[in-house]
Amino acid sequence: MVSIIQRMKVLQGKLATLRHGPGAAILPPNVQKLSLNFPYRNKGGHMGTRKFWQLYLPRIKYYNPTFPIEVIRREGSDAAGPATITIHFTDKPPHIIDSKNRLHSELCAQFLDITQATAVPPNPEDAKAAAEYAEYVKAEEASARAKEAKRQAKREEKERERLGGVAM
Amino acid sequence: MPPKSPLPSASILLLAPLRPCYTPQNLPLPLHFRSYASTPQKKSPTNVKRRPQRTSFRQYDLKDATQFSLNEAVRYLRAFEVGQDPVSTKYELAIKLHAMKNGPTIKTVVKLPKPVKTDIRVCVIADGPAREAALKAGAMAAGTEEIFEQIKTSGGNLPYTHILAHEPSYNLLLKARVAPILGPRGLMPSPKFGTVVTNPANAIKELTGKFDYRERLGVIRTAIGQLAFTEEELAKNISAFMGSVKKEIAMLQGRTEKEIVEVVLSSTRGPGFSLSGAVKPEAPEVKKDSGSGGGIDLSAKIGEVKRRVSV
Repeated sequence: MVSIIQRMKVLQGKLATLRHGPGAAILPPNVQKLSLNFPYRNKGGHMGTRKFWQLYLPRIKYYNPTFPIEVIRREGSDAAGPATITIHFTDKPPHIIDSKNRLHSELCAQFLDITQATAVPPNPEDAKAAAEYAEYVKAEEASARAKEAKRQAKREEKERERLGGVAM
Repeated sequence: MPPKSPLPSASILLLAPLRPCYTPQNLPLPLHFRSYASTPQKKSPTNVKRRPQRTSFRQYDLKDATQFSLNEAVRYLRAFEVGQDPVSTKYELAIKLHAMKNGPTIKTVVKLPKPVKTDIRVCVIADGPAREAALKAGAMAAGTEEIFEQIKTSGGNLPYTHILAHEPSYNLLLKARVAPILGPRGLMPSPKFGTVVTNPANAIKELTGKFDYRERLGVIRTAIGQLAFTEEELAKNISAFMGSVKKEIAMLQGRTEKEIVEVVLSSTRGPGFSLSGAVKPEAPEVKKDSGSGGGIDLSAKIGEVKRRVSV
C-alpha cells in the first residue's frame, strides 16, 4: 500500500474539495429526484451536462445522501438527440432543463435556483485545503508534463545519435 | 597525407595511423571500453554501513491515519460514485497484514451473506446422469470430451467463470492435458480448492456467492459489495470476510505470524478510507477491539503491531 502520509494528504484534499465549492447545498424536501439523460459522446454540445455530473453532483450527493440521482448515458442508435436534466418534485410537475450547448457552471446555478436549495455555509478550513489540493494537482500535472518533455527530448537525442552514426 | 619522414615510402604507409573513410560525430564507444564497463564492480568496503534487507513488508505508523466509521466512508464513497451503475460499481476492501515476505500466504474461498458477483457461469466436467443434473442445476455447459475440445481450441478464451469436475470424470480431465490452459486462469478443478465434487448440482448451488481471495505483497484485496448495498448489508459482508481472514490467520499459527494492521474501504472510482471499526460516526464508545455491539471487529493484536512498527 502507498505510504499513509501520502494517502492522507491526497484524501484530505479530495474530501475538502467534495465538501467545499459550488453545489454544496441542502435541497428542500419537496425535491424528489434528479435525472440526467445525455449521450456518451461530448460532440454536439453535451460536454456541459457531463461536467455538471462530474463536478457538482458529488457535492450535491454528499450533502443530500438519500437524494436519488440517476444518470443515463445513451449509446448506439440512441446517441443522437437531446440532453436533459429533469428535476422531479413531490408537489408539482417535473421541471426539464434542456442542457444541450450549456456551460456546466450555468447548469449548476440554474439547478440550485429552481430547487431553491439552501447553501451550506463555507468552512474556511475546507476552503483552504481545497485550494491547496487544487494547487497540488496543478503542480503534479506540470511536473508530469515536464518529465514527459524530458523523456521525449532524451528519446529524440537517442534517435539523432543512431541516425548520425550511420548516415554521416 | 602524413608529414614528410626520413623513412622509406613503404614504411610510411605501414606505420601511418589508419584513416577512417568517414568521421561520424558520435560513434558508439569502442568495444574494449564496453567490456571494461561490464566487468563486475568491486565490493564496497566492509566498514560502510549497509541497510539490512527487509524480511517483512513495510509498515506504516497508523497514528498518521485519519480513520472513518463505516457510515462516514460509505457516505463519501456514494458521493464519489454518484450516477454510476449500482451493480457493476463495487465497494472494495484492502486488508494490510503484518507478514513475512517469505512466509506462507493466505489463499482461500469465502461465502459472503450477500453475494457481490451475481453473474456466475459454471462449466461442469461430468458424464451420464451427473451431466444431466448439472445442466438442470444451471450449469452453462457440461460434458467431458466436447468440453476438453472446446478448451483446447479456444486457446484459453473461455466464457466460464468457474469449472467444476465430477469426481469420476476427474481422471479424464487430467488425461486431457488441459491444465496448462486452465491453470493460469485459475479455472483448473482441484480437490484442494473443493472444485472436484461428488454432487455437481449441489456444488453449483453452493458456488453462488462464493469467491476466492489471496494475500499478495502483504495485502488482501477483494470486492466486498455492490454500490446498491445498504450500510447494514455491507457491514455484514465485511464482518463475514474479516471472520474468514482471522480464521485463516489462526490456521497459520505456528508456521508464521500474521496480524491485521489496517482495513481500507474503497470503491471502483473512489479513494480509500481507513476504517476505524465503528459502524456509526456518532457512536464513539464502540471501540475497534470490541467484536460486538454494532462495531465490526477489525482487530488482531493491534497493540502488538504498533510496538513492532516503532522498532
